[in-house]
Amino acid sequence: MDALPNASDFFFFPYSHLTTTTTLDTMLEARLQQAKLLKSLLEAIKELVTECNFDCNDSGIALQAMDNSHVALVALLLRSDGFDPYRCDRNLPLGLNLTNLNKILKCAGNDDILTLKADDGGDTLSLVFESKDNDKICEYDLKLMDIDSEHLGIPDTSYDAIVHMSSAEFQRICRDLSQISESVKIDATKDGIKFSGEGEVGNGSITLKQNANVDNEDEATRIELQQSVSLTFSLKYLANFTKATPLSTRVTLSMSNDVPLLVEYKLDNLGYVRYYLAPKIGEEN
Amino acid sequence: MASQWVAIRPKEPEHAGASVSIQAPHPRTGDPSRYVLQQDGVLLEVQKVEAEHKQSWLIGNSVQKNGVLYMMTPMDPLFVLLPVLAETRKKSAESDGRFVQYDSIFSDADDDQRYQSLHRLADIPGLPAQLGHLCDQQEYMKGEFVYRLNEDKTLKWLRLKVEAVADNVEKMPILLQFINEQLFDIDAPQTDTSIRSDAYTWAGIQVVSEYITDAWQEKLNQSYSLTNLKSQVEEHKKKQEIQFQNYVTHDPTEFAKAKREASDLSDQGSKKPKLSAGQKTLAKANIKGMKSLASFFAKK
Repeated sequence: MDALPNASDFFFFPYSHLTTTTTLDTMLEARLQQAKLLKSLLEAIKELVTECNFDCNDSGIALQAMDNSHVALVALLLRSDGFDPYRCDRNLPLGLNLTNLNKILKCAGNDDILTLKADDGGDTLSLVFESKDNDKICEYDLKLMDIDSEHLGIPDTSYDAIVHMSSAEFQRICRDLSQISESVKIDATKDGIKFSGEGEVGNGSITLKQNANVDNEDEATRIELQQSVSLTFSLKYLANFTKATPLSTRVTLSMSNDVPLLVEYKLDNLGYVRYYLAPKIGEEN
Repeated sequence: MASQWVAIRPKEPEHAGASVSIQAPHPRTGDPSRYVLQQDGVLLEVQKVEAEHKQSWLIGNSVQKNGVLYMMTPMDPLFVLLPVLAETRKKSAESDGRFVQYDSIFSDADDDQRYQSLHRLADIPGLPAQLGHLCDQQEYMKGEFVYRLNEDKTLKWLRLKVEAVADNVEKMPILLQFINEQLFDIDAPQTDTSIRSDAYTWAGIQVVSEYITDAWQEKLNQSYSLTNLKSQVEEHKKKQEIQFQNYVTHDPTEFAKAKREASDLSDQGSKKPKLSAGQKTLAKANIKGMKSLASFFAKK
């Protein structure tokens, strides 16, 4: 009789083996027509955040992380319908070192088709780059890490001033004012938006007037104003946010007095990159 | 009744006569402090032991309102005289200072309010001879000496005091406890004898240092080289830290994490300073006046 249980154990073994292989099946598969998008996204956030979780679920891939000083936050969303195909069976956090991910993404051509794959319980993220002509395939596996994520709940706020403007213009303004000042004061009124900086060498300001110029939609500055606002921000951080400029021709600055500024770059039909930055309070410059 | 207080003091010899209470500068701090001089010339140091809370003594059937306890312990008057001698010597860069007559050691100090009643010390029998431990002396008249502080002699005398304490550390549990707290477990069997005697010497220095100025403390410390003891103490501290860390990381997941971090550190030792230009710029940003985002947005 003793031999019988052993024999049944033996017979059960192949089944349990099969079950393991099914659960190890790919959990996430996301295919992006142009690798360029993810490459640019990484460029836009990798200096603010070095390690974070990419939270994947059936609606898409999201990321939220604060910088080291906890004064800035980046929130990223890539909706599932921007991928073709997209499949993610359940919530899957992928802890990644962004510096390392960026290294691998640098191996992808801008026009390559990029596929992300991850297994449930696996410890790597697979990246496959296929050339447009389908004559070259690169496969990389990046090790995942356990990251304690600290998520903040960001409420939908109705801001007092929302400024839509050219992203290139915003980048230019941040760069120019950085030359003379550490921080920029942003005043939004019904007439326009004024960026001013003051430093040891002197001071300067740039005013953009609200223009409904429809000739060039990309260049127009539009202001939705409930109430005038005046806020001061660190230029080093704003200049860093403008690394997202290649992602969108437009940028939206949403402001209310004494609350964090929201700088949003919309990705065509795919999602957004949002940066939040705490205002400088109690400083006159 | 008002002047009655509770004190612990050595037993007075019979027919000792009345003790007098005198005020003299504390040998370390120079603050006025209280001493008791017995008629037989023994100087007692007075320490006031006062509790934080209000307290009284119950004596027989009466209550003593003042709950302070005074401790009086014999003390070498040379400690009190050391700063006085340094002052009367008037040492300068050009000269080694002046010799003074025995009486003027005490009377010169009379000008100073703090030194009032110091002259009573002059009557201590045998004190002039004792001064030879600290001073150069010259006979200017038959039987009459003048004195001048000699630093080498003083240091030698201080070292004798240290040795006197060190020799008796084993009889004083409180000093052993002090060593255990400040240095390491002296009772551990692996402590070798040279380290042990170094530790006793160290305790002696600490005790004597309570009665000498900072300058003398430094000189005294420099005259000993307790390097073996120092390295032993450091080793012990390190060991303790490791033990503490092991204790803290007793939880296996914590241990694994610590291990991973340690290997991360060793593998990527050069990684930390490798910030990109952009990261460096951000690290340099002036975030004065900026609140953490966690103060604006609630944690999920």
